[in-house]
Amino acid sequence: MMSDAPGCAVRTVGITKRFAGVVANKSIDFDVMTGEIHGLLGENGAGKTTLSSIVSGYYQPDEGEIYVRGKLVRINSPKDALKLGIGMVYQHFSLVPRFKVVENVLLGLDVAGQKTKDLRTLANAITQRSAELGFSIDPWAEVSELSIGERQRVEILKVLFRGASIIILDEPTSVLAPVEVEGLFRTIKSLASQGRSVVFITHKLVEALEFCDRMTVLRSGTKVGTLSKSELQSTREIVQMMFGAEIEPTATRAITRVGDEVLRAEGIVVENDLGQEVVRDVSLTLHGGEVLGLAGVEGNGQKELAEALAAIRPLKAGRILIGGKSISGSNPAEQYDLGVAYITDDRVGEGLVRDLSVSENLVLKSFRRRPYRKGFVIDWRTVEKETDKLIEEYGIVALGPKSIVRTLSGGNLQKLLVARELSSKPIVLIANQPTHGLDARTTQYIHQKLIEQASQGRAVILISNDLDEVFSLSDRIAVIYRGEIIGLLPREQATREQVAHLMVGLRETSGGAQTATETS
Amino acid sequence: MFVSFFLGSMLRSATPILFTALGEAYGESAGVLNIGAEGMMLTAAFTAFVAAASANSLLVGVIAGVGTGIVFGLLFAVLVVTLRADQIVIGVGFDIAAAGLTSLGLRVIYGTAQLPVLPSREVVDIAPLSSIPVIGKAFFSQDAMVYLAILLVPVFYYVLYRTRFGLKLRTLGESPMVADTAGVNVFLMRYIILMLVGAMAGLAGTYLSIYQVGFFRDDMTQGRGFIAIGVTMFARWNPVGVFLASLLYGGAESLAGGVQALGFLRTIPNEVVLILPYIFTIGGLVALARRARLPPALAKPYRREL
Amino acid sequence: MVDKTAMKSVTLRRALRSSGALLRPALSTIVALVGAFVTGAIILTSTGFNPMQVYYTMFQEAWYTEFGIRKILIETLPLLIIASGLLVCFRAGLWNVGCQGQMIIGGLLGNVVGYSLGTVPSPIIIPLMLIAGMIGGMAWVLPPAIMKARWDLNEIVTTLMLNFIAIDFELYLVKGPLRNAKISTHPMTTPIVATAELPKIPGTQVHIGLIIALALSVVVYLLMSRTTLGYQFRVLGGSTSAARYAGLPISRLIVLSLLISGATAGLAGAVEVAGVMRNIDPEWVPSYGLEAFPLVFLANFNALVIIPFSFLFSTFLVGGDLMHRALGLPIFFIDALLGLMLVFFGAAEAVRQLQLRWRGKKD
Repeated sequence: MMSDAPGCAVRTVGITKRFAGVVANKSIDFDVMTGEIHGLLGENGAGKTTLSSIVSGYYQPDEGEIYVRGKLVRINSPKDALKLGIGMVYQHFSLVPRFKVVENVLLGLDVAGQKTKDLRTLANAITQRSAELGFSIDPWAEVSELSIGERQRVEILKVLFRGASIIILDEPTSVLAPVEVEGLFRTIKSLASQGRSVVFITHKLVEALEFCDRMTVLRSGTKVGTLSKSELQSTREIVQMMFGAEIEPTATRAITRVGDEVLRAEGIVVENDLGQEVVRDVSLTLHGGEVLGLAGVEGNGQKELAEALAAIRPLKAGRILIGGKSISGSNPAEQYDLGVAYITDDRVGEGLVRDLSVSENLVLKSFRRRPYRKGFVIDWRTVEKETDKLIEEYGIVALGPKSIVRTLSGGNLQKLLVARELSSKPIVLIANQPTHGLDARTTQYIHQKLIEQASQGRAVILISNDLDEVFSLSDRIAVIYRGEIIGLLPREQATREQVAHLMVGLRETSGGAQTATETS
Repeated sequence: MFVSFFLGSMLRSATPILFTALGEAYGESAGVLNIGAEGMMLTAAFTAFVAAASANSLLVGVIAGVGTGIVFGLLFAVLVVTLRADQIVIGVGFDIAAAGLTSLGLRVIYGTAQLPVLPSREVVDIAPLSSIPVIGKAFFSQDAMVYLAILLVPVFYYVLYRTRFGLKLRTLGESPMVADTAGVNVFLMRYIILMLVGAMAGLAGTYLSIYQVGFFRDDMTQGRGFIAIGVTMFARWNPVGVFLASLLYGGAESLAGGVQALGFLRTIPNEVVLILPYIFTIGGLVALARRARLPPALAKPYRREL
Repeated sequence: MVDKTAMKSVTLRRALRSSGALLRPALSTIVALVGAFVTGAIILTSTGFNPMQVYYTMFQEAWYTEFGIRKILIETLPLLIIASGLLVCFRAGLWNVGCQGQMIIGGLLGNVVGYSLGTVPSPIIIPLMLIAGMIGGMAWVLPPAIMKARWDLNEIVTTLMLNFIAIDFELYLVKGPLRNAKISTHPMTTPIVATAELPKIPGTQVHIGLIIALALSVVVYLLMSRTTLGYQFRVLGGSTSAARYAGLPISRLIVLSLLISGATAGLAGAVEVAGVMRNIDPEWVPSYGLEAFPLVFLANFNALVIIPFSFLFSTFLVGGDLMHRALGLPIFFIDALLGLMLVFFGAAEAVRQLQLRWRGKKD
């Protein structure tokens, strides 16, 4: 058994975790020293959240060991983790909006085995602690009434009151305005100076560079490396670690002649379910025959943008024109009829009905159209024939058109989704993370399909956080960051490095990172 | 005189609903919808009666009834929390089975003979308050169970809104994941809550058969379990609201009974008054529960999935 | 493009898996039946009855006597009609528990039509009666349907409340405005005229309601499996978010599916009046609504499978009744059995879902 370096707060050895055939963490060795701020970097799906969830007890590893302060431990639940002094602040879901601030803080408290405090005492303590940290929160306010920045502070307070000595923050600044980020970092710094360890999960390099003592980069479930800030010469190194080495993609599309404008969005603003603006004043145009690659790390407003274009989500401001005609207040079915197909990233939630068969799912949006519909009857035979064709064409592994979707694996589900959306010969295809979590062969197949669409004169918006994909398929590349399009270039003028930097909020590639100017 | 009688009977009629609804409020706040409340009440009513009759003691009946409720609550928990079965299907199954089993049991045990007479319920007279004209007898001269039900209201309210236990409970219904990450054992807690729900339904059924009516009749719950569920919903799971709504229900029911017994207001057909409790439930739902924010996790089994 | 041989072996594995998935729902039904009967046997033994004897008598009386068979056919009718409608709304994810009340109202309305249009010839008055029944049922389920569609008010509670209201309303109507003035001994409604009675199937003692019931099941089967509407119901029941993603008219679907189940319940009431009862006594509270519930589940929401299952369930009921007369076992035992079936079914389905998840994880 290895003895840890003195001052090592938490150490993982060989952590491996699998979910339904996907290996989320592959034999990860990771350590955090006492009093350090350690950044955990990587794109989405790299395994950062999984690793942290294991350390914080929400999941259990399939293989590997965890050492806390030198001792081998078994963490079977968040409760165990909290007892060991490990607390995690999740990206979402940690607060109950209907409860008051003080109640939310109380929730975490009791479990840590601390002395039970009544609400009033706790409220006073909250007020005091916030003052120390330089902000003020009304402990009796209902969380749903707080702004996002304020809710974040409550999250921090929760953690602090738990007395955790090892604090993991999962993308804590993803919803903060720059000014609020300052305050957060002040807090984190004082935590570290108190001897606590902070693990800071982020995809925003600029923040990691500013505040972390060391950074560990994960990619596709494995640890690529750990660097300390002092060792770092330029941002290039880290970006390479995060996104992979620069290889010229083998299958680059030839730039084709671009046709007429088919879709135009003007100044659209979209809110998410919580009422926050996540798409801010976005304008773009799509032309027939082109692929517009929209690069960005998940959580920067892409999904809501896609939903707005597909008329699933209403616009707060701005307008969308299809073929020159404004579509406002249309519903998804009408949009589909107008020729806008949308491959959702939420395969099993919205994209498919799991208890229905393959062919039944295939006509989810098109069942009203001929040839599937005759009067008020659905001609299943035609549907099944079409399904057979598509199963064959896309290589979907299923017994047949009648097999229940629930039995299909992830890759096949996605193929089904793609098959469905493409089969309607749409004018505009919105593909949101279409190859997320798929094996190489399926990915290649879907890429070919997307290229096919464009070569047949259709417009494709490819929303993706995979740079390889974006570069090999797109004619133009845009980057979405915090709800805004912060770069729009023809592909031949863009470099992977540049785009990677934009995705994490940096404007320039250099030894000194420069933050992208952000409007609050 | 009539008013006094009416008020007293109102409290007695309200009691079974109150017991059940208090339990349901906790259950639903923790994210579990117990549609089987009707069946639990009925079964408890039956076992309470049989036990009380055999032992010639109301107390034994109460123990039996509450015990029955707890057992069924536990069974429901195993099916719904651990196996994650559909709460509606299991609940309705309980209701149907209970109706059959209790009526079967009644006949098997007593055949066609006359049902034994239970010891009469003891009225606890709180002198000198009971001497207050009109309301004295109604409010302060009731049996112990009625007092228990009323006393439980502030207790349930306090625990739910002012203690850590209640906070954890409500978190279960709002977001089980938050509770889980805060270290709450979601499964254990739901088990405990369901046993409580069962116990309360048990109390309700017990009261109905051995206190309020005095014997067991086929299907004697007559939908009270569902009315309690409706009450819980439009009282927004607040024990005080539940109490007030139960009183209103009690008023409706005892009005119906009074009209029948006293032949009051002959111009209004009996049946119209009989349907008051049900109209009341629907009316309450429409008036108060429209777009009510159900606990987001209601009736959804919990599993860990980030 | 795609490696076919590799795909074939994977396909075979998947084939086994998905055919397994088709088999398994039937497994839950078997577990439900077996579980209920075994538990029933335990109950019987503890109350001094011989389970083998009870079960044997039940089936023997039902199937081997002419009386039994006839009764089964008659009892199956309303059960089948109600179950067909319930199936529709269950598959849309909605729980209509108020079929009893809807049946009563339908029956009453049918009854009224059946005697007030005395001079109208059979081929007209009978359909009118039946339509009146459907209207009655639909009217009774409409308030809960709207409450659910507009305000998301729990339909179990609302339909059930209306159920109880219907029972009392019936009492009032039959004792009051609808009372047959010619009979002074006990209150009943005026019977329907002879021309409104459902004729018997030639050569049998069973009225053509049976044909109506069978036809209805086929219609429902076609509706659910072939029409756009049935498809939309199934999508709604499968996933509300997918329904929204697909842009389906959710409120309309909710109301329609509930209306359909109300209509069939009302129809069942009218058929009972026209075929069997002729008039209504104030305490007529048919239990088919409650019995149809487990039936639809055990038949796995398949409109054609419901047909044999209706016969099976009415075997239980009729056999139970006859067995009760022969052996003295109270008929409530049958209700207990039905409830147990539902509970076992729910449990079996849950285990099946858990298994599916486990399997999915391993892959």
